[in-house]
Amino acid sequence: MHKATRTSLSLLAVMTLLIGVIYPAIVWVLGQTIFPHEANGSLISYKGRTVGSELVGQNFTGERYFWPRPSATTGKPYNALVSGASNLNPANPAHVQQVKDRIAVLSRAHDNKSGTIPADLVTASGSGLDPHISLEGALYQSERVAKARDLPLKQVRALIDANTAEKTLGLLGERRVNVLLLNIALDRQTGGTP
Amino acid sequence: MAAVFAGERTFLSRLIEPVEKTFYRLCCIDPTHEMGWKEYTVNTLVFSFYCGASLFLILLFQAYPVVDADVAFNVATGYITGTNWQATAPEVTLSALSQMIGITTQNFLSAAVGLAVLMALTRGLTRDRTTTIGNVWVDTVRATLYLLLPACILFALFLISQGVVQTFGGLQLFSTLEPDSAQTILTGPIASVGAIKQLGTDGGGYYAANAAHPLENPTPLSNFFQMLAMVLIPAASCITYGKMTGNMKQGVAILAAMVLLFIPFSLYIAAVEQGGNPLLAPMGIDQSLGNMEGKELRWGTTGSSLWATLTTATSGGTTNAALASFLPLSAAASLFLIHIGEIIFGGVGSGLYVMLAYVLLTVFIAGLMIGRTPSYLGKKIGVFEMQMISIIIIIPVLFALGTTALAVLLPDAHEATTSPHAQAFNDILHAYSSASNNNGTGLGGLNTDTPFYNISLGICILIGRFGVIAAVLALAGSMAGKGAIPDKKRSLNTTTPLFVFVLVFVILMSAMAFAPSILIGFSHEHYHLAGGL
Repeated sequence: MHKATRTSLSLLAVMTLLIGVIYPAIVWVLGQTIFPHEANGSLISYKGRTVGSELVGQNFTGERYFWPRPSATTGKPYNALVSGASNLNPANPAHVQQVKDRIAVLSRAHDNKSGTIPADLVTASGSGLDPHISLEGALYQSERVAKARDLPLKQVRALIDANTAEKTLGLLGERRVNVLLLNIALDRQTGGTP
Repeated sequence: MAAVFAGERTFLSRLIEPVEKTFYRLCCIDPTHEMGWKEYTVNTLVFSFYCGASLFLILLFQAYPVVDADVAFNVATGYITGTNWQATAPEVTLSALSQMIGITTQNFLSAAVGLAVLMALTRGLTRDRTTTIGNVWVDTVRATLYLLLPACILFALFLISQGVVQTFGGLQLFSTLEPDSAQTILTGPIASVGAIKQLGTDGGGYYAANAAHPLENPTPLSNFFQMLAMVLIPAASCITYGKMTGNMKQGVAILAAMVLLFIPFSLYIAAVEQGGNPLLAPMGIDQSLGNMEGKELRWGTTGSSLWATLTTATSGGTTNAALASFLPLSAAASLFLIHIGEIIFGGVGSGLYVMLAYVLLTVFIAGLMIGRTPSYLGKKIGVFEMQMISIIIIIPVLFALGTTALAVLLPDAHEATTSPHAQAFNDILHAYSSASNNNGTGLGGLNTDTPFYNISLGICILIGRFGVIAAVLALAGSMAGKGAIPDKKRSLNTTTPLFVFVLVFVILMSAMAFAPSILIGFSHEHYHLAGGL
């Protein structure tokens, strides 16, 4: 037993050095050299300052911006310090009530002609930090944003198209619009909040 | 892989051999020494004990944030077994240093130990009249150096190319476009942890949202390859096994049984989720995307469903969507996959060694049915072997159901869930099933960050892992001592499609022990949902 203890402890020590220190360091050096933008969080800047990560969703509430999906993160929506989902099961009355409230808010702010609301706009994502909405979700909001910014609807829709990602290889994922990139593109055309 | 564990040279040898030899010298390991099953077991347990103890101490003495002892116990048991139960949000509980020297190290070592035990069992089944089954130190070191480490470096680089973070920058603060709004993003050495958590089927994320978090899983492509990484080593193990037994068909037959079980489950779960939540349909919501609560648009319902199937079929335990918000029928299907014992691909090493127990059980049952002496690879299966196989199969059943029953009876324990109706029972059942089978997924409705849950789940995790390992190694030792009688006429052929079907059938029958517990909760939920509350 004594020998097993000695071997265990020394093996653990060298393994910790190799896997716990050297391995992350190798990956760090390679990552920072080959993919510096990605390895640091894909941060994007606008007007000379960092305004977010193109991968991490943010909350937008103003009339002039596209809104992201609801977020269930602790404390406030899109809190990137504690990620998480609502974890409510589909039959939970609390979930049903949440969805009803979200529909009410959306219906007040939008003149909805088609009568239906895309599911992603009334459901929270798994991380609470989903950077995307569906193309339908963006089109649903486009009239409101166009009106608030005094832009022709066609121009807003063109911006949506420019920021839409198709399914990868036509197969993986959903067709989706990056909310932050779309809102930055809008600000580039008409300026930020006056 | 077969070459790595047979001690032969591979194309990486030139680079790694000096490191390997230094390791043996520093740790006083004699690589030529062969162990009997008792020595192998004792060394495995002693090594895992010190792994757990060191992680426990690292967490306890972590400068910031402060971790309670019960949480540290739960995390330590989870990570040395490849379970990686997350009772608390890791970004709040663990520092970057703990993530590296504690979590990353144990992710590697638990996978390496799993592979070592599998190799010991393989040797036991293939060796002729001997008392030894290999050397656990050599197996663990070689699994780490030749297999896991090179694979993880490549995979981590791929993840970074997709946008997974690898930095020591810590927090990134910035103000956003709207006035008076700001966001703080937590970064860290995530790609290096993310690679092993998938390849080693460990499952603990850097963030609470695990692989749903955009910095841990940023694109549809990273999602696809992380799914592939989960099954890569477990599936390759079947081929390795075939090679080591000298008959590739033995490995292919097992792989075929796994695929045969996997495909219907993945299609079923995807179909159910695609249908959407029936309670939302009458509210004027367009659910053509499916049941989107708790799911990301980057991979949608299909990607989330396939992942859920994989993470419960392997012992992965990572999640890219909130399992708690899955519809009752698909949640039941994924729980049943855990109950099957994580042998459909399964955990690294652990999937196949339990699967081999089922193969032996099938041989035994089939042998009795046709009146032949049950033997596998020419070796007779006796009373002692059947006892060990029964232990391997019964331990998870006993602990998953026993502890669930206990928790349901304790008022404190069952009030920890926020879910209404029968879902509260489902949450608890899922938690203990996941712990006893070393999976690591959980239904988020249940708050398991209480001393009762941290400790009871930790105990289930330990017994579910090491009780099974001890029985597997005993089986290996006993089989190694037997002589193979190559008698093709009298023994059952274990490479035919018929055998594969019987194997699948035996596995499903064994998992029926869990059927009543699943039916109680989830069918209640389903009819609740279908009936419109």
